[in-house]
Amino acid sequence: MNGKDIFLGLQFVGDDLVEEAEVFHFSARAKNHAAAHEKKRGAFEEKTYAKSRRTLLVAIVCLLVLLLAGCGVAYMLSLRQLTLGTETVPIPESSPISESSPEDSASETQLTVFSLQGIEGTPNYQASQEWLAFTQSYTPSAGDYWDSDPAYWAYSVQDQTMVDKLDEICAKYGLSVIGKSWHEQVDCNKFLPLLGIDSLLKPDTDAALSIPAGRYFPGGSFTIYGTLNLGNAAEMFTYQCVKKDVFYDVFGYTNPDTVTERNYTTSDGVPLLFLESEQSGMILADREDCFLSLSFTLDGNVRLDEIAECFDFTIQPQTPDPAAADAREQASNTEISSTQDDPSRFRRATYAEYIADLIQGDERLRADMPEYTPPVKTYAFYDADGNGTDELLIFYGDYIGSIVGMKDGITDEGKSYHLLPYEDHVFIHWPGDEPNVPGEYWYHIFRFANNDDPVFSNPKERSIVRLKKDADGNWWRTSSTDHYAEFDTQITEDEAQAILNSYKPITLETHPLSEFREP
Amino acid sequence: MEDSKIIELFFARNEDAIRQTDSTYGRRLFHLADSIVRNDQDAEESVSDTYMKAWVTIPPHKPQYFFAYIARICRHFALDKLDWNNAAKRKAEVVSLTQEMELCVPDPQREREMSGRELGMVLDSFLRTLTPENRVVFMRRYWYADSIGEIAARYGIGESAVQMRLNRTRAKLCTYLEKEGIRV
Repeated sequence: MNGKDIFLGLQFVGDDLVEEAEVFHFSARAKNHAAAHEKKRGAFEEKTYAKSRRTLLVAIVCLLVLLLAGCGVAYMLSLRQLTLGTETVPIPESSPISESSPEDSASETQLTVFSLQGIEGTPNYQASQEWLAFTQSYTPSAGDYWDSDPAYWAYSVQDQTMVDKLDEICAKYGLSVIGKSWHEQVDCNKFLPLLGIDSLLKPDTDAALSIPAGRYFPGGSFTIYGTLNLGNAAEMFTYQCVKKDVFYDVFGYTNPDTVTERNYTTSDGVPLLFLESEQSGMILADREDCFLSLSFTLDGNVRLDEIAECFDFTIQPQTPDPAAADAREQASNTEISSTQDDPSRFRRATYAEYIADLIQGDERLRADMPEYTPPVKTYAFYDADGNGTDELLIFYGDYIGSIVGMKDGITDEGKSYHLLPYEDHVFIHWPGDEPNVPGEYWYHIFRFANNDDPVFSNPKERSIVRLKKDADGNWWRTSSTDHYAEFDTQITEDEAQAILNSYKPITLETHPLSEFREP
Repeated sequence: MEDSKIIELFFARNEDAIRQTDSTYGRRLFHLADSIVRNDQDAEESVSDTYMKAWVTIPPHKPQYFFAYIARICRHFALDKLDWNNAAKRKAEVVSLTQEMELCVPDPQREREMSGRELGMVLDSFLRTLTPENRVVFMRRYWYADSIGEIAARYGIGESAVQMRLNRTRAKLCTYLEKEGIRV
């Protein structure tokens, strides 16, 4: 992972977050707070945010013994049984945000680190504890980029010493390395059957899962990211399953002062541990051959009990067939990198069908949006690229909006234009009423390449010159015919007009769409 | 024109949808693309590609957040056009952005392997733990590729306040990525 990966990974965050950043306004309080900070930077500042509500830690120390049919004794999990140690981290975001300096010592807090693999005394717990102690005291060697054997890619190991230590711990406690994972980027439901799991949910639940991303390991362990849709609520979660014959270096972190824990037994008899804070929750299940943990971002409307009753905690993940897992990963990668949409939809075998779609679209609009009047559309046929074949031109008012060619036997409208035609197959893309850059008006004078490419967009465009009138009224031109040339040469308005006027417009015979006839 | 009306145009297969989208959001999309590619023609083409992509994906998609939907497409096309190797020469803001993002990587030597989508899910979860003020500042910087000055002007706060929020959020993200979000 590097900075570019994170930058690109942001592409997958929710639309609501993207929209929020577009419409959000800082409250007056936040602005005033920031302004005050600007004035008094470095000085003591009173924190204006109310302290976050702190819930009392409810210590549940009782061990409840349940007799499960044919399974012997079950116990109630507690955070104490899972606690491995502590770690100092930046203060949680749910706490007051101060505009005071980043060096403020109050910006750190101590969290309890707990096992997500087994309780005190088990090999998994002991391995986790030893690894945590090692990593907290070890400083990885700096230097050139180092990469591990793929079998260790799932771990956060930074040099060979760490790999050796990991091997040592695994051997000491009779555990295996978790192995190289397979990744799913479309729908985890497609790999769950490879682990012998039909669904993560109980069959009789009304809830639904959206699980677009995750990874799974050779022994059957997995991590899945998704959303549980329950009634009107959508709860985001991370679901981790670690088999008990492996060691994995992922831990749980919590602040015991702000978290309550309680036990719960599902209607089908599975004992669980709930950890709940104001904004998040975790469900832990210590099963015979695996340890399950689900962490949720809670919106306050759904209780962990309800969530827990949706999931099937009796799953027994099996070792996936490597060949099938390889195939699924490849398919997933192909799917995510493809358009995910059929570009041939809405493309038609004849121009007549294409025109019929446009007419129907206008009719439907008039019915659905009586207050909206679509612009008058007409059509013409014209050999836009001079290769001897006429293309269908769709005019929106006076300007050509689309040049529709036939590609592989179906229509392809290329890109959306605002063109006027000129002699010698020249086109000028005129600026619209709403220029991209306020106050700037761009003109692109070009021809389409005389070739077999039936798609009228770049790379078929062959630039002659681009002109720009900037917000100050200055004119610029490109000095290169490169498609991406910069406006690098300032010219006078007279020179610009002379260039535009040097091309002679032509008038094409247009017809209403309703009178369409194939050429 | 309202988003719902524009979407109706798309569903009616009326190409006015593209023109109305351009009229309503063209400038914002161009700004987004230009912030990434730092080239007028590339940005213009990213916007044009966005409209065509929207044309073939709406329907079946009926985006709840229309601008976010097309902005995501536009960002994708702009990033696709970006010549990462030569971005520095073109003074692309994205170079400094990725350098800032390096500070969020808990282990630059060898980090736990994650696919882009997995990382996206983790980042989404992380962003939802932030206050709205810190979240939008982070998004403006690293999603929209806005400059510090633009963010300060947009929200009416000082540039140093923007920097401070970003510094702190990056530090928290570093910790969050290290813990992979398993936190309560």
